[in-house]
Amino acid sequence: MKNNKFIDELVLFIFIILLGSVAILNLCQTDRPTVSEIENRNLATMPDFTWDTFLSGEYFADIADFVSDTFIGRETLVSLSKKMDTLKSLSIIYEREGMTVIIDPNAGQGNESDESDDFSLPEFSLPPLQPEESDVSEESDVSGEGPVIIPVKLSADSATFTAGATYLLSATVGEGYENLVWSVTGDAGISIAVNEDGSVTVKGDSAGKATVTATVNKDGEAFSAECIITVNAVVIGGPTEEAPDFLPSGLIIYKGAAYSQSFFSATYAPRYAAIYERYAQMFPDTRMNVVIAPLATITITDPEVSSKISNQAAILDKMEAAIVGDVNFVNLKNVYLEHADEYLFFKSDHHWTHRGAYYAYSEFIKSVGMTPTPIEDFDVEIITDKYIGSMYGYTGDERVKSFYDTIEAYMPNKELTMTIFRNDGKSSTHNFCINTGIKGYTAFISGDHPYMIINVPENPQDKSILVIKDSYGNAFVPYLTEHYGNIIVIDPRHVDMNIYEEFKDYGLTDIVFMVNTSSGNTKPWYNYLVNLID
Amino acid sequence: MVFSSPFFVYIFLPLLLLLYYVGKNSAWRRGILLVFSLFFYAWGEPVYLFLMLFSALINYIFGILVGKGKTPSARKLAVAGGVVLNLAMLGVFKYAGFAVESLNAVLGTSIPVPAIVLPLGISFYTFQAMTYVIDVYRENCPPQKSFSRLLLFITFFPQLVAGPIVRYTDIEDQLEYRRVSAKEINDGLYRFAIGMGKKVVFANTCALAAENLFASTAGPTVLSSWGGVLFYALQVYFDFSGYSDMAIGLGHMFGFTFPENFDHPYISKNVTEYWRRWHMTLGGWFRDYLFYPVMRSKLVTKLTKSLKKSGHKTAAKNLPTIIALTVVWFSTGLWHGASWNYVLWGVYYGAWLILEKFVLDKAYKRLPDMLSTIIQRVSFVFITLFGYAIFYNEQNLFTKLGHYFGIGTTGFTNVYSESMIYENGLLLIVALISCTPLAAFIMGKIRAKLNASLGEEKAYNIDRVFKTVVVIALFALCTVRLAGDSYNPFIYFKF
Repeated sequence: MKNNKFIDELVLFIFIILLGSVAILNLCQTDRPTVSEIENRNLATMPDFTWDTFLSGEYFADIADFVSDTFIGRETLVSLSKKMDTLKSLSIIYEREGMTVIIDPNAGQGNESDESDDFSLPEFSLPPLQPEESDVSEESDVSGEGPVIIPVKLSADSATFTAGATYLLSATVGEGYENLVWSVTGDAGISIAVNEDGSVTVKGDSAGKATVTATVNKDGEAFSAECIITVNAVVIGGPTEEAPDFLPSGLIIYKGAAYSQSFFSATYAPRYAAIYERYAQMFPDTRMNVVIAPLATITITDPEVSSKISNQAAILDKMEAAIVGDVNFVNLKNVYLEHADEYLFFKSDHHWTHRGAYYAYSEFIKSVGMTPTPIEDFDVEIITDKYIGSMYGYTGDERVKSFYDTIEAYMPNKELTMTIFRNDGKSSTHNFCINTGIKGYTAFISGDHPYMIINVPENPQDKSILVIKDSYGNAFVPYLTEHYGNIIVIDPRHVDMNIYEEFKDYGLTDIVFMVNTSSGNTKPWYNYLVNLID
Repeated sequence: MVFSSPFFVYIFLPLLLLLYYVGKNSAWRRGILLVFSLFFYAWGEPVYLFLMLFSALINYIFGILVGKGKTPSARKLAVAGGVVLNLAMLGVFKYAGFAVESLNAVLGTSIPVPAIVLPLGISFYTFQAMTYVIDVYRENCPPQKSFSRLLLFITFFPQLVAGPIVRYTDIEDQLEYRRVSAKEINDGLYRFAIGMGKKVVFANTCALAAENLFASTAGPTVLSSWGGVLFYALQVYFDFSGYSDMAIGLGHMFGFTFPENFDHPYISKNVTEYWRRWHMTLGGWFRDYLFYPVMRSKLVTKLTKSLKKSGHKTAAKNLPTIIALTVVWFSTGLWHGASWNYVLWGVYYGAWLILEKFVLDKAYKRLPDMLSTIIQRVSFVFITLFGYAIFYNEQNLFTKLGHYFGIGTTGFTNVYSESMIYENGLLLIVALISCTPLAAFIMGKIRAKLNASLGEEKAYNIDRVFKTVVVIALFALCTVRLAGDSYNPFIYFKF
């Protein structure tokens, strides 16, 4: 029928116009965006043609990505699309008590547990300590007869490390002495392997005690030196749990706040313990401290809920239990449980608030024998009360957009200068370490930088601290200006430095490793710590 | 190239429509379709384009050979050659690695496993090509003398990558002449939009839910397993049937009518009905090109005769069917993937079909209607879901299957499983309802009322305007989702 044909042609015409307009508008875009604000990533660009990418199909796939990524009005479309996602949920029909779990899209990236079912430790060894340049072959003789030559001197009289690790012991043989021979007696799990340069690698497969002896000869007489080796067992499971946490990598929304989770790695805890101890050994006149911040779930006190999610208190206990050697591990469990109802963590960001960082500061300062400044003695500045942080991006959930946070900053009481060094060699100096002009967590020390130094002229200049940190450390550092003359802050994710070379003669008072539980027992951060002294 | 992507919808398709309809000449139109189809394939797989061209050439040659064969045995030889070459190509490019791996596992040898990348759509286009050669042999159609027409049949982009499996005889005439009008294009657009909507609104979202549930955060539970597989079942249906809708719609826009592939399979009462509603073109292919040939083969007819002679009448009647079904379902499973879980899946369904045909049908007839229906429908749900569990798990199959019965799980449920299902609860309900023909039923009733009160012509116009509004709305909605979300998985791409 004619009438039908007319309608058919009319609607088709309208559709073609609409489709054609969008198509032409898209093709004619001159200024294509390169960054997505809302997704916080770089957008695809038009790929270059190469025969390789053409033949593999990658070239075309990249073009398709480019078209998608630079679609007209994409930012609006993305935000609309996210809003639509809330329609999937039954929350429109009824509100459910309890928490919402969103699977972290970044789960398992760099944060995997390497745990297998059996918990025997794999072998690993740390880079050897530089043998000391010691002039041990000469010593002043009390009787005035000339220097006494020591037949053999070892690099250490005693050493303690954790089962599964190795320890390098070297001997300096006095002039005229020869035939250096090594032996070990003691528990079966401790053995030695002689290296080409005459040093020996002590292996501790299991806990126990042994004595490593180096013997030399001169004119038929034997002389020896000993090193007492103590190998500590790995402790798995803290006082409250028998088995490590399962990997609950889900992000949680619960009672108006968003939470991330972390887990304990039985594989990495002893490795961390060993590297902390190595730091302590490498800087013998410096105190080695470890401050691990719990994640926000520690403030969830309802046992119904807290029993089902990652137990931050247990993680801290287990980390503490694995510590060996002369390392000061500051266990923050109790102070956070005590103050759990205070505003310690952001609702829309995975970081702690400045008040949250305060308690870590006060526990740390107490543990090194100083008195923390009471929290009332700080001036509080409100940076913003409309902060929406990282959890919106992580969860992709519209509800997080309503969890407005207030950023309070407890301003340092003393005058200071903060010098930030960039990897290109340029630096900038400021007279503040909390930048109230930045309306986000980045206000604290202006965010993550490779390397920076805060100098507080009022404090003793020989009182210095090296802070190795992740972004949690940013809120922690300003409090240190109450006590230290020089605060050196390193973010190992961004800097390529050997801190042993840089600071062995600096005379540091303290080194502190200040990260959260998610960083503090996983592979990437262990590698960062190793690379800093390798 | 994926249909549900901004590049296809806003660049490829408009350009194709423009160039196709700008020329009225049928040679021009065929040429445009061919060029765009080859470009479409090259977009996804530039190197294997030549393999597909080679396949078309082989089938062209063998079609001619069959046609030219003077004696039955000459013709049989030609068709056998064609089929063998097609299967050999499929075998090498899809199954070589799998075959060697299995040999190594069984014999304990360590033959190096060839790592061959699966050419896009090879399972579909070889099966389509084989219908040509076999139907020429069966004298259902004359050999196609024009290579370009045959090439178009084999490479036409709508159904190339994921079906429906179109037989040469289905579109033989349409290669020559196609009816085009605004109505046909509108119908095609509507079908395409529906398919795109299924894919983007349901398939992608159910896929995300399934993936989250299968991710087994804090350990797998019974609920996360069954919940995950339920969403997976919905994902596969909307993905696959949506793709078929898009393919059929696209074909229609250019005057082709492709066979239907899905008829609301999830409303089935039992497995037998399910396989008459799910992937119908594949089922039809296996029925006509494998099941009947097996039934009529010399081996089977000989077996039947000897059974009859020795007095086993029921066996004589039933055994051929059972043998043929076993062969068909083993092959169907294998066709779905080069991995033993797919074969198991095929055999699983084959077993249920045989069981229903020879045992259960009779048993159910003895029960009262209501009870029989309830039992059948409930068991159908569990049979289907469990089948998907087999289909889904290429690795660690038996460990994963244990989860469905509580073996190796951390409990019946946990806070993560419940939360995931709650967070996707409304999606689940709407998706389940959309599996039924409810929407079509309602639209049909309304159309009938309009017809009665306003007359056919006016009713048609209202219907057309309504459908166009739906098309525009779906295009807009899908554009929001596609441009705004990079998560666009597609399962049948590995075919």
